[in-house]
Amino acid sequence: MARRRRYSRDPLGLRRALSGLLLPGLVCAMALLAALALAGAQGAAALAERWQRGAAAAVTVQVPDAEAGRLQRALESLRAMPEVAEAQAMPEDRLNALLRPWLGDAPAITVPGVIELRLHDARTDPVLIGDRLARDVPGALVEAHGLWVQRLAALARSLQAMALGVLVLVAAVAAAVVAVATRAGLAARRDAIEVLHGLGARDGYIAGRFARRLGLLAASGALVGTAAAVPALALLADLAGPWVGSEGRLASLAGLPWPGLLALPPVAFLVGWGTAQSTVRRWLRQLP
Amino acid sequence: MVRFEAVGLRYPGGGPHTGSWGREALVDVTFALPQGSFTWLLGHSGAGKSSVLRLMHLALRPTRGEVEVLGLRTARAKRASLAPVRRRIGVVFQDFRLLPYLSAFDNVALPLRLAGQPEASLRADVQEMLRWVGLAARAEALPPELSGGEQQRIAIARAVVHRPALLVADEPTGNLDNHQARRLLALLREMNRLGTTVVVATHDEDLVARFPAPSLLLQDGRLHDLDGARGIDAAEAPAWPGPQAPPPTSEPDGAAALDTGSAAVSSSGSAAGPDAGGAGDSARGWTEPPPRPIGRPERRLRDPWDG
Repeated sequence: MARRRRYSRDPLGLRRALSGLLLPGLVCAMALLAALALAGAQGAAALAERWQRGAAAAVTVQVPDAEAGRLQRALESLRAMPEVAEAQAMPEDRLNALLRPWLGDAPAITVPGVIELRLHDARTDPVLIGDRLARDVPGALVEAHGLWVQRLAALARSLQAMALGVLVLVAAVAAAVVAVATRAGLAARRDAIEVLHGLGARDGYIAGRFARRLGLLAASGALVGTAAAVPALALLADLAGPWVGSEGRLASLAGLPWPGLLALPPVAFLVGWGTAQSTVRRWLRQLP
Repeated sequence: MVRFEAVGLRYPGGGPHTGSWGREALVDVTFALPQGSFTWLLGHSGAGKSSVLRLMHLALRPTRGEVEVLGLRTARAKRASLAPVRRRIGVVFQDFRLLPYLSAFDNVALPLRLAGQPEASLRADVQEMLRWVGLAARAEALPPELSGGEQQRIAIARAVVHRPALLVADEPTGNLDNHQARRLLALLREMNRLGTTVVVATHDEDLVARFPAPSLLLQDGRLHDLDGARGIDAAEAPAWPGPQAPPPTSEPDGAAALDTGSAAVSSSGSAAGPDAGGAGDSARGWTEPPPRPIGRPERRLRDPWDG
């Protein structure tokens, strides 16, 4: 009775024709890659966002011989410029704290005055600001580390785009793997398919059997792969915590791209299902 | 019911992509089988019997001409429209074509499951059918565990479990001894008695002699009319040459030749002819088909395996 119930739901014997661990194993590995790519994409996006928000518009101005008058003149001049959002003299104690590692406590050395600028638009050329400032305050230097930050942010963005590209590639390879597995199943069950076809089974019936089986195999592989990826990702997120500003194991676990990870098994099912459907239907068209 | 109209059939030769085709396996085959008839399909191997049968159960479509089966003109029908017609056709193959990984029960149940019959009502039908072929005790056996004769009976049960309107058998006795072959034929005749149109291809003349019925004789892909089995030919194509046809006066009655059974085969020269074929339904040996059984017809079946 058990045997009957088992086989009545599987008239093509696909449990045996499409069994083994090869397909789920491959899909598992690809789900692992997809999970890494997802986490990479999210991490790159977070870094780019943070760098750009934090420092992209920051430009510093050094005013040598910074007696009060020159620093004040520079500040006024900068604040008058339309592209400058904010100009702030760096307090002396903070400046000293910044320089202490290099200079030590050496009050004898005169340090330049430093002004922090925030620009409305990060693409503004800081050289032009420097030129205009130099007319009012000779010797003032503009340091545009914002350009570097921008390049880093661009790198992070392209990393993110690459991660998304990897996701698409992984999905395409998964579809190809499922197509190969489907063809193997078709070859193994060719006689059975012809018998069922001869008995009046519709293409949709046969394709549906294959699609359900392959979809489930792919989904189970993806489930295992995703589950395996979570600890590794949590570890990475923990290590990356100081840079992205999250603290503690729980916080880094919560920072994983959960919606994407949870979507991996259903997406794997859909890829397997759709690929099997189209492969089997195309193959069946050779029968009358 | 089944109508062939100037059917030509070529199989692709030299691979599907070269575009070359082999010679015609069937040439201008024309006949019609009325509903409820029983017809032998005779001929040497290679004469085209299997091709005719495959056209009948829609495993092939004609290269030219028209094949009409159960009201569907198959030559240009949509692919999707073939499947419902296939479900009304039962086929018995010489090599059984059972699914080896399904039990006897599941093999017999396949047509009912494909037709969407619920499991609860299907069980009784399948068990009844297994009882009819005398294999109720082996319902859970896999085909490889069954003998050739038992597999053949499972194949028959699968072919008739859904009460097909047309039953096609290709050399069904090829793997059976004489005794089993006779029982199989009794079973096919029983199906026919209940209203199913039956076509049996065989080269076993002994069997044909034992169960006389109208026959179609194929030679080199052409049809040789033995005894007027080609229903439409007599009516629509009276110019059929019939090279050795005797004058009508020497032909007493087509029915006489049919009743003697073996004459249907051996007297191909004398019995053939458009006039004999056109002599009317009684001359062709057709009897009125009995009404299609209603309800659970298998209860009315005699058990030929016990008799």
